[in-house]
Amino acid sequence: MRKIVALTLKELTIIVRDRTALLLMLAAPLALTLILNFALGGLGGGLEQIAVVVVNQDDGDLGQALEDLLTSDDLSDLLASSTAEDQEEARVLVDDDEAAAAIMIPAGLTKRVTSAEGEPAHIVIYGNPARPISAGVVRGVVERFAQQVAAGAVGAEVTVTQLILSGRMSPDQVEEAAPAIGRRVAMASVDRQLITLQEVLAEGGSSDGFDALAYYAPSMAILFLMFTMISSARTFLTERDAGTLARLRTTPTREGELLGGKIIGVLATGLLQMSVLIMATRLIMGVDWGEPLAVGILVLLVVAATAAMGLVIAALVRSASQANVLGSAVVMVLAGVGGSFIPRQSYPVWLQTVGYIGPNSWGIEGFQKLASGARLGDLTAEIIALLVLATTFFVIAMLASRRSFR
Amino acid sequence: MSEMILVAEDLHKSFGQTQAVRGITFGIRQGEVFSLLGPNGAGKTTTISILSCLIEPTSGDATVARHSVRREPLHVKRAIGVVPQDIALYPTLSARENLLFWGRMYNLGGIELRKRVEEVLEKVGLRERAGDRIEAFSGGMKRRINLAVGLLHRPQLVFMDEPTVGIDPQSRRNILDMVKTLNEQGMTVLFTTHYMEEAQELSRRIGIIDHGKLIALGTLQELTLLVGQEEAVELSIASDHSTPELLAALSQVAGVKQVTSENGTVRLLTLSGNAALPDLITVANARGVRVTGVAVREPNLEGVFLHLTGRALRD
Repeated sequence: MRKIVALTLKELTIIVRDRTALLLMLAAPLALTLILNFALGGLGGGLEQIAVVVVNQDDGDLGQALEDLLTSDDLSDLLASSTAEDQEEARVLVDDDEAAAAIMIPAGLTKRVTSAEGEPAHIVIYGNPARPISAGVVRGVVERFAQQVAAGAVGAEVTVTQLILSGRMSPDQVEEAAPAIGRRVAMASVDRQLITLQEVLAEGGSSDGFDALAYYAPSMAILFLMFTMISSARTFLTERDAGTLARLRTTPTREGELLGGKIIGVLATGLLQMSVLIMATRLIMGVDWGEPLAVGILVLLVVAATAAMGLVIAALVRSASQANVLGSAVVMVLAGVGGSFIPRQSYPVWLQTVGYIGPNSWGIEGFQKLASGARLGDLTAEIIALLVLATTFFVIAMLASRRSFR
Repeated sequence: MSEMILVAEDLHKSFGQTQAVRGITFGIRQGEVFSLLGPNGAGKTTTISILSCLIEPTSGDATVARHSVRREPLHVKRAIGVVPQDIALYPTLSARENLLFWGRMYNLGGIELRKRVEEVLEKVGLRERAGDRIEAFSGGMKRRINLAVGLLHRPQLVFMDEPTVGIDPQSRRNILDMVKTLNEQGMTVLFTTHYMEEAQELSRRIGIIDHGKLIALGTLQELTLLVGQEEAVELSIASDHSTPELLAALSQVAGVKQVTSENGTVRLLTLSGNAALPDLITVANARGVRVTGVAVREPNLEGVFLHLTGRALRD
């Protein structure tokens, strides 16, 4: 154990004395948090009150439901919705930059969705290219609505089939009764969606809108944590190249102690970085990270998952410089898909799903929830996901390192 | 006769198709400085890596302090100190911090560790610079700290892998003197080098290694007997005059047994240097080659290596 402590302290001493590393670990994330906050959120402001124009040409319940949703009190902190009589008028408002997006609900939407033919209906979102994030948020809201309607239609089909099979409805009655059942199921789904939407928008029950500081403080901290963890894991390779790893192996130190000391050193570096960043953003920018115990556990898991990811990269390459190149590429891709720069809620659904491959997306979501008042018990998905990522990456790193770290 | 502290038996090591070590067998007695002499790539570092349990031999085994490098590596590692060829230190830590860290890796701690650190700093003459970072040190000073690390835990046997490569003459002298002092204090040393002067100065017994094989082993006197009474003659000439024709002509001079050439120096093994010298100069002059310097050397390790391999030690 004494050797593990000595190895860990040595790692920390080396990193603390590296001014370039400290700049990357601490100064860069703090500066970027401030810059992104000013650029995309305003101090404490954010993406609330996105101007949206709704053109509802459907005379059925679904069109009205979508319109009601967009103009509802539940979304009033996020969206400033207005209605227009025709599509041309709505387009002009977007073109003149008076709205972030126009939502065109086509005539006959309800009829098409509930008809037996199932002909697809097209809701057009006319986005403002100057406000990509806001337009993306609107698109996300409408996509969720469409998904729930689709789920309702399938549900209706299943319901009708079950009624026929159970003998409570004859096939002759289907044509007459099915549209009504479909409408009821679809509307029931829409009701459910209204509840689901609140979760998507508020990340933990709050609907206070987008707080840029609360978002970018953890997202930048995790982004630069990923860089640090790759850099720290890279020290396996730099020690190998410098001959110190070989020298360590000539001392009466067990492989487990060497590996343990190095890995704990990497983890300690990450914990130190996150702790300093959390304290600094709290003291300098007033960011409320949430319940301390939950924040601590989430930090530990995010550090473990990113450290294990760093170890995988270090184990897969042949040199420290290769680790730098591959590591930077991986971090930038994960930053993109994981929402480090732009909130993932504004992404298409498929891209939001892709984002879950990296620890940063889970970490950002978890910290956002905590900042919104969630407790440790609300982080089950994030905790499980980060544990799975950490374990998977660690196993891969250990298998691959048998070749690399010799 | 002293007890053997190291016994290597038929060590082999292959890396893929390359055979780096091919059947090396030798022993080191307690309290001696044993030199392993050979050119770069001869297999010296691979041999030390096997003996320090860094790599496993493909076949064969060795014991250090009666512990097998194959079966009891941890015991072997407790008995040895290793001074690697490259500087294996942490550049942003000070000399003292490096020594404290490596001491802990050798199971030292507390007051004893601090005492040992000051002791080795004194030995390598760097106590005044102990608080400076390694990155601020000259190459020679780094080498001395590199060596100090290997001595911290007072090992029974120290492996020094070419510890004088690439350093200034003063630091080199310092290291060689230190090896002699350590030996006088009872420490056993395995010293690898490709400088025959170092091997001659430090060791009573020398092993000559080439292409992974130990081609000769014995005291300096035993080894020089291998070449009989042959003397080495060195002729300094302009390097562009060192043509194959000249070397062929020189090899025809009576008493000349071998001729090699390197960077304007022609080396000849002769039965008698003084007897052959006039003819050698005449042959060179006859071909328009001006001889700018002459040296006749008594049998030495250079000559032994030349005799055994047909090549100069630095080839």
